[in-house]
Amino acid sequence: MSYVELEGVTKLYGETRALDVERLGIEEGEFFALVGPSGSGKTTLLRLIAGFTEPTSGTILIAGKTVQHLPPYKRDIGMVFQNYALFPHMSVYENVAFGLKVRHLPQAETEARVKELLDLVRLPGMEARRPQQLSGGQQQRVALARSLVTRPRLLLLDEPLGALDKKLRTAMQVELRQIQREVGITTAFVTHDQEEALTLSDRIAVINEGKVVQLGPPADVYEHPATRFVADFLGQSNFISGSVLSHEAGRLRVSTPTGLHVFARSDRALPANANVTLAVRPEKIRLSTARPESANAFVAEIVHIVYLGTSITYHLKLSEGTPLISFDRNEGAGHTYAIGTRVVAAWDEENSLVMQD
Amino acid sequence: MRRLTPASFVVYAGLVLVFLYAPVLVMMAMSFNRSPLYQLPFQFDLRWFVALTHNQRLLQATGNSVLLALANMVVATILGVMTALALARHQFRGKTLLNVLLVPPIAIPWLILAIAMLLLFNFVGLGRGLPSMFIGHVAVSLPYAVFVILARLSGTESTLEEGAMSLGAGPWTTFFKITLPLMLPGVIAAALFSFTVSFDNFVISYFLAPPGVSTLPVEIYSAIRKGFTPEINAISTITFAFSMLLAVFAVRLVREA
Repeated sequence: MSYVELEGVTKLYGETRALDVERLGIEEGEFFALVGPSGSGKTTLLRLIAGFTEPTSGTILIAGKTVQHLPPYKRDIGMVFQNYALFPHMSVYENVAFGLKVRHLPQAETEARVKELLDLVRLPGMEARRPQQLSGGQQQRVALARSLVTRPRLLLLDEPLGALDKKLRTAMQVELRQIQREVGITTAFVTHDQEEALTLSDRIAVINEGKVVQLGPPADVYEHPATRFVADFLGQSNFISGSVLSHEAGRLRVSTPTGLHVFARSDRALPANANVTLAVRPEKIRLSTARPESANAFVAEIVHIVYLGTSITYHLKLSEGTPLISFDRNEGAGHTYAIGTRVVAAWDEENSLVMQD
Repeated sequence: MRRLTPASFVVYAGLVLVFLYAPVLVMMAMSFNRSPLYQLPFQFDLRWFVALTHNQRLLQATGNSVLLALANMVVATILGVMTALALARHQFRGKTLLNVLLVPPIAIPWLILAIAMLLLFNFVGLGRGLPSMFIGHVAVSLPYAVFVILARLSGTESTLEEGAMSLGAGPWTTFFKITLPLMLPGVIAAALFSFTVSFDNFVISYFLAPPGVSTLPVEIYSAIRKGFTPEINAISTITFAFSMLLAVFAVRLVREA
């Protein structure tokens, strides 16, 4: 029995179906990411779990208790909002202590817990400051401390790192995960940044147009995207469409309209002439000047280079016209190709992923 | 935009201020003048302020004005808070209609509103009297209160209230600990505006006041008709000073919002 369960949950706004989730479970203690593009319904889902909206149909259970009719202040949750929602007319201490004051905790214990939490988020001694006097990163930490001080059993985060700059965001991601592990709290985390979701979570749910498209551990979902959408949303993919030429012993041979023959692996039954789309991740494509052993090896010309510091993106054009993108590590000037160079682009057949749509 | 030269600005502003305040200043000065017929030369005397203390009519009228204004302030502000909260934080049927209906009392001349109220209250059997005056005052103060508070509320986000709720605060706790403190400047400004609107109100009070009941503005008007002494000036000076203080206070609060 998962700690949080959604069954048959839908949310309609008039005619629009904002969310349609048959089953979703969040396990106790896990860091669960809800990721998807803007408007996909991920925030709606989080707000349903929090209690700010009621589902049009379905049940939501937290710790086995049916909660969809309970308001947020009757659910045992902590929440961090995208803009932190710190009370500007209160000090840091009063902000963090708010949840305890509402529960009429004695003064001494309130003080002790506030101090404990401020130490946890590495903001000791900030009690007297006002939120307006803090930097973005500090505000974020106060918001986190405030949400954890009541020792809730469920933590909900709505794009909490969205307002921070890249470097700070990366640092906060690490801290956030460390704190979550230390406290051991079940966490649901909404983000549109797929990289963030992959980095932080134990499990990811990819959401698009109100539906959960794929669910699983990050590595699984990344390496085995079920649909074209997931292959494109998480990381990047090259898409090659064609029809099945042969399918023997798991080895699939696909022919594209331009005459390219690509090899893939698939356990699914795919009849001859069936239309398939293959996804090949750019990092799985190796470039070399000599012809390698791989089944998929094609001559290509480099038409564009993007220098990213840690890596180099090559835009290639195969001899029959198919465009491809490949990522290469930046191993120094001696190992990079110039525009116009003819290379061989190769990848293993296992890395041609068969899409289900 | 072209910049005004300091000289032209001073001249312009000076003229405006003179136009606005010269009559008032003359009126106030005459309240300290000995002559009952407003004759110069100027002789400083506080006799009219002393005479005021014996003028039952004027004092009673002032008392009515104050009581009415206080009652109006309390009710209009509370209703204003409720209305502004509903408009700012909730969706409901008829929301647009409500927004639209709040505008006429500000736009329609109070003379017409007063006549309409008189007709309505007669028709309903309420007639003239303090209750009618009270209802009339609240009706014209409410839009001001709502808009002032709404302006303040729109500046704060509703996520603050959601944050409070996620921490375990129910609706009342959230209101008193989060919403109200944040919109307090707006609430105080609304209170002061509604007090002023009621205290200074002539037209509606005049139409809805029954025989024997008067408010200060109405009493001053009657006195001008019937014959008066600078006691009128004295009470006006006091009223003016008081209103100015309230207005300045209210404007500063609204600016803070």
